[in-house]
Amino acid sequence: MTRSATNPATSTVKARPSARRRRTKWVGIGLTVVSVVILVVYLFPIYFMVSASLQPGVTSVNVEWLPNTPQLDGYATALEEGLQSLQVSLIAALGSVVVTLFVAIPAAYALSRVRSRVVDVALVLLLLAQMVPSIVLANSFYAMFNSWGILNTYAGLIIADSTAGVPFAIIVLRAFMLRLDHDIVEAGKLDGLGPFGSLVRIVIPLSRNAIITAGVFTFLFSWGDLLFGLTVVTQAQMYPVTVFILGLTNSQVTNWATVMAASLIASVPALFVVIGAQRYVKAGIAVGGGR
Amino acid sequence: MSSLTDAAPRRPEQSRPGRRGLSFTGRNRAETLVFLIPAILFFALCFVFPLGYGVYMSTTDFTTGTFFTGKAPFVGLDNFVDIFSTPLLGKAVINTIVITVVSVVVELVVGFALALHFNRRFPGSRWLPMLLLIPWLLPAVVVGTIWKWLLSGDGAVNDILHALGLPTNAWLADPSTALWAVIAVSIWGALPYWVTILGAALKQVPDEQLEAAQLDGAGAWKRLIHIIIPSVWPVISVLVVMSIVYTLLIVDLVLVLTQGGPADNTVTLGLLSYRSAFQLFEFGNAGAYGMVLLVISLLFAGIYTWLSRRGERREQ
Repeated sequence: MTRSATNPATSTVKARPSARRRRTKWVGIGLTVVSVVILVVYLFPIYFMVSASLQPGVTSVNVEWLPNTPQLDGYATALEEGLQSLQVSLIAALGSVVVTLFVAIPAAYALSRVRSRVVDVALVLLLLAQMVPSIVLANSFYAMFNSWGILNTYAGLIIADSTAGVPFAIIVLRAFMLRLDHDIVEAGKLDGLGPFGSLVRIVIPLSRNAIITAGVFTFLFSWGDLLFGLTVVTQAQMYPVTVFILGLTNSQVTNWATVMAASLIASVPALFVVIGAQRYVKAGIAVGGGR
Repeated sequence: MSSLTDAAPRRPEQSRPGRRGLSFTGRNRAETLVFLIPAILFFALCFVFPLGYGVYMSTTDFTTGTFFTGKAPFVGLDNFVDIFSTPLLGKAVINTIVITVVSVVVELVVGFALALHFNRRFPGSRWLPMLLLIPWLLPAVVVGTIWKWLLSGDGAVNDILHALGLPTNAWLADPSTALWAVIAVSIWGALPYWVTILGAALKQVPDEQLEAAQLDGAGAWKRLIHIIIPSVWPVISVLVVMSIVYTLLIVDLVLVLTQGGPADNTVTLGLLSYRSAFQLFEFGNAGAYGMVLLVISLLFAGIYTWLSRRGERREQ
């Protein structure tokens, strides 16, 4: 069947190449249209958030799908009431990025350079650590932090938030460092660099992209965290923005324009990452997915 | 890791099996292990100690009073007897399983279909899938908040259903639909991740094989079953197990959407642990729920580890 079918087929293709090209072009445009429709439907809730945030005094009954006269009052209120929580979230997220990278970079370097049974055990432990339920940690952290006196502090939030970042960052960084050209690292040793020197002078600069990936993800984990913010913080002035938003939705009279504006502000890091740091996200997802 | 088998014959030192050497001298090797110290301290402080503390709490009558008196009487397995005798536990286990199984199955099937779609070449096929990733990157609170409003009695979802002539409902307030609404929102947030990973895996499927099969007269369906699915299978298996673990632990989305209600119809194991500790201040029971959750997730984590290590070994 194959042989008989191929010969006439190739000859007809040769006879009308432009017709075929035109057909594939239309198929391509058709696929684009289908994709755009899928995206419009799928991302509708996000559009809805943006639209509602521009309609002060909006309720679920009178909400317009397209705001007639967009107003920024929702944002003014959200920023006025939530500025403190945004500051807490920002400091906690940046702090956990610093802690995570400080712990993960040297560990990943060691685990990528040394081959032994210890490394194999460490890798299994890392995978297990990624799957420890945060609620179990949160219960213990509450009691531990209480006796250490670091409930309601940045230190407590940063430590708790880093538990998501550290195992992930070590796995991502090690996977990248394994692929570094061994000769370059060795060349540093000929110049008299010890392990510390080659880490700082050679491995870190070469691993820049992987470090950014690990940092971006750690930031997003910490920024989006709700559970730790809800448990190791008990005073309103130390609530991260996620807990602030939860509080807004649970209040008696919900001002939806403010809630949606606050939600949109809390989504800015995610949106920024999609626009500005795509390739780092793709790299992180590839490794995090166990590829 | 293939190091164990590779290294053994070439290195004479019997005392250190598995050492490949890599031209690191013993001293440098020791110095390198020093780099692990911050990580070891971190894991001891943030994983080993809290988990041990969790086990301790689950065997004591740990309450708010404990924080003042420092006393938590040992009660053995009473907390476990306590939680296993409430009807809530059974409900939570069933809900957790339903949420997990339905979410993962739908995510796999729809995610695979979308990945196949976005993997074809068309204008915009590079950056359009990236926009799809936004819901996954949003904080769970934001996802929950938007949907809580969309799904409310007079919300936008009902407006659309009404316009289409379909039945409307207060989806999150109706005990018979609340769990399904939670599942739908959880799928909305997780699906983009599946599409992205499966899309990356599909790009690795060898084109020559597909073309050869096409020349042999294999239709799209046959190519899918015999070539595409087998070659992305390792990715699918790891993804399924990982998603099972993450969905099992669902707490934050439920907290935002329903807080376990209406009438405890959407409680999950994680939510019960949270509720015991931070709403009822019964840390002993919270610890017991936590241990149940931990055992389940470690079980799946074990499977995940085995699968991904096997994959890594195959790659080398």
